[in-house]
Amino acid sequence: MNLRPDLEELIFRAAVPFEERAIQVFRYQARECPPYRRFIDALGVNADSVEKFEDIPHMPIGVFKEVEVSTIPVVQIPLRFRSSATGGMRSSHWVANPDLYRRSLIEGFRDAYGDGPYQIWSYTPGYSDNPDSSLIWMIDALMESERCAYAYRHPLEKPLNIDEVLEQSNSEAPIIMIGAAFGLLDLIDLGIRGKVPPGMIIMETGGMKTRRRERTRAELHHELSDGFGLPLEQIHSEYGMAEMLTQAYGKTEEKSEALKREELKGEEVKIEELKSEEVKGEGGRFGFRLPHWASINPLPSTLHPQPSAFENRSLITDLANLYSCSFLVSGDRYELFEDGSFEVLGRVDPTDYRGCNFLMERD
Amino acid sequence: MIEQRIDQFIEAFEAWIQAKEGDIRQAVDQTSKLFHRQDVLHMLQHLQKRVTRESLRAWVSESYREGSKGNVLCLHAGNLPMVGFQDLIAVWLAGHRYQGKLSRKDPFLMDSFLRVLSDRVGTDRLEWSTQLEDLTVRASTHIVFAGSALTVPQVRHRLEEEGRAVVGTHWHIRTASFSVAWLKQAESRDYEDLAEAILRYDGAGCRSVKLVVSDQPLTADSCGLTDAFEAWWSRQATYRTPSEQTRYDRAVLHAVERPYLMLEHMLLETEGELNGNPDRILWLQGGQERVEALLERYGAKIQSIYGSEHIRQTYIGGRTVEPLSGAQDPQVNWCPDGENLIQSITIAYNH
Repeated sequence: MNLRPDLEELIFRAAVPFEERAIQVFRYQARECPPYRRFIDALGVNADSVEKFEDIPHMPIGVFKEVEVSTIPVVQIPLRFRSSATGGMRSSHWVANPDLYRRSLIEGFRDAYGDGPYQIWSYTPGYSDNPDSSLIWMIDALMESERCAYAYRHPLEKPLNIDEVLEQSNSEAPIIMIGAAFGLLDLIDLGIRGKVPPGMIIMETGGMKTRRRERTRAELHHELSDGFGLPLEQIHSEYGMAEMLTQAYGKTEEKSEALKREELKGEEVKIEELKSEEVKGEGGRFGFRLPHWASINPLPSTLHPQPSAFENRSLITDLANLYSCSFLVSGDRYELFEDGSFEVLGRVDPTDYRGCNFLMERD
Repeated sequence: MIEQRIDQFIEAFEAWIQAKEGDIRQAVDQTSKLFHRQDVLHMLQHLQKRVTRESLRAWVSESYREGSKGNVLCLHAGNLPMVGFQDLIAVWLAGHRYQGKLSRKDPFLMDSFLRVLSDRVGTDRLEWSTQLEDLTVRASTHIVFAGSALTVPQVRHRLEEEGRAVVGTHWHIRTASFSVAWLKQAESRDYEDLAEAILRYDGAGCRSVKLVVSDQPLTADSCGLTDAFEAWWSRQATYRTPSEQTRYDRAVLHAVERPYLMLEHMLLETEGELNGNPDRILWLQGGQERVEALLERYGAKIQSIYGSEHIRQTYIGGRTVEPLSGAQDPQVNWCPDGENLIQSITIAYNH
């Protein structure tokens, strides 16, 4: 298998400007990934002449549903992730080097949660039942990492007795409990016994529409916050997809003091007063963040036109997708914030030909 | 009273469309800067054919129930073929007060007609503007809304905040956005109808076809289809170079190696999924089961199912199969999103 250890190293080198890393990866994929090559050829883009990030064409992730998006012949590839079947056809993402994915997720997790150690608890089906799931693979890899002091997979449809698990773990490391949104709500319904450690983090991985009524992220986080008896700031989200080998982590963030000061237009406000506002819930905003080898950028551009119905679509760049395609347009809509964080607004409605409503029309 | 309202409307309409009163010529010129002139003229010819004393009487007799009168706020979309005109007819005939928020992007024809009507009947029951804030704040008994489903919550919120929507307001929300053509043993006449259903109004409007289900595959030698498109464009030169979006979509088809047919700016592709590009048509091979599957999948997003000459079925999945030849020439009483507006704004209010 013709792996590219040089590029694998380059991807994670934060000192090298993102654009420079992206262009190196782009040129490799433009040459070695047949569907992506056909795509950029049809757009009339000459890969060798691309020198700016904004000139790199991004391809819809729907392509993963129809063809093998890989720079390596898939017969040589040991691992394949598949998307869930909720959207019709399933995407296949061939992972030529599982170690690269492991590195991306471990370093991405460290970027968001520090060096640890931490305990990873999960409430999800097991890998043996879901060998195609990138999420389950991710959780297993986190549990197997050296920074994980204790790993615990809670059996499905059983109440959670926290005291019992803590007794088994015999660890004081902070707990991060990961589960699909609907699963965690089920767990609350089943019952949570014992004392929830005050520093515990609940991380939901999406799935707000499945099995239960649809709800907004704010509603979901409030329900989880109430159900686990934890502050809202300790209810986090993970955003990922089978077609990406990097995850974004999100939480309701306190506004930075600098930002607040700017908003207050020079009024002198003591930091204590600002903190007091945050306690009252007046300062936070939810936002996802990606690690330095991934980015999210706004559409439209000349290269990436979009019908009005597709407002809020974005370009996603994930350099960890080295052996498939790093330059993607997902089927989600996003709100991008100035500080580089983002929120996922929901799915694009591909059947919406009406576009913006006239009441909200802009001249 | 209802007869009087029909007479008032028809007399105003005839005076307007025959350019005896008002400024229709100027409105056509202004609208022609926004849309193809041939489409604007086609729409007016269509209205002239369909809006008659007899057709209004027939619509009223099958739909109207006498009852209290209220205020109907119509939030009109800014596209040909002026479905908003049908809403205005329905509100007027039902005897309600009409408040129309016209699109800033397409205000001329509606405004031109409303001026003629109001000159004849006064402004007590007619109020319109391109600015919502210009319309008197009144609690509406009905609100007719056409637009993207995504914007419904924003619109509701704003109207509730302003006191235009209150508890008890009946909402008539229209979000159907495209139609399906079902072809069987298609002949040249069917392809001509299909070209009209796809190309008229530049594919805008919910009656325009975006999905085709056919017993024939889409191939490069789909002569009947190609001929029909070329013939349509020979009458109306609305073809253009492919949009950036279409070029992008075509590149995606190269990536997945899926066959497609490019006819001027129109991209016809086999299978695939809709993506909001108005110049892109999906051609799906199949028959009744395929149409039923589409209805199941897209549900209320589908405005109409049209059948070609050899489709004998009149219903599918609880929907009427309409003739493909009438796709862009509907009767005055056709039901957007399955709703007969006169019926629902008279019956609903009475209850």
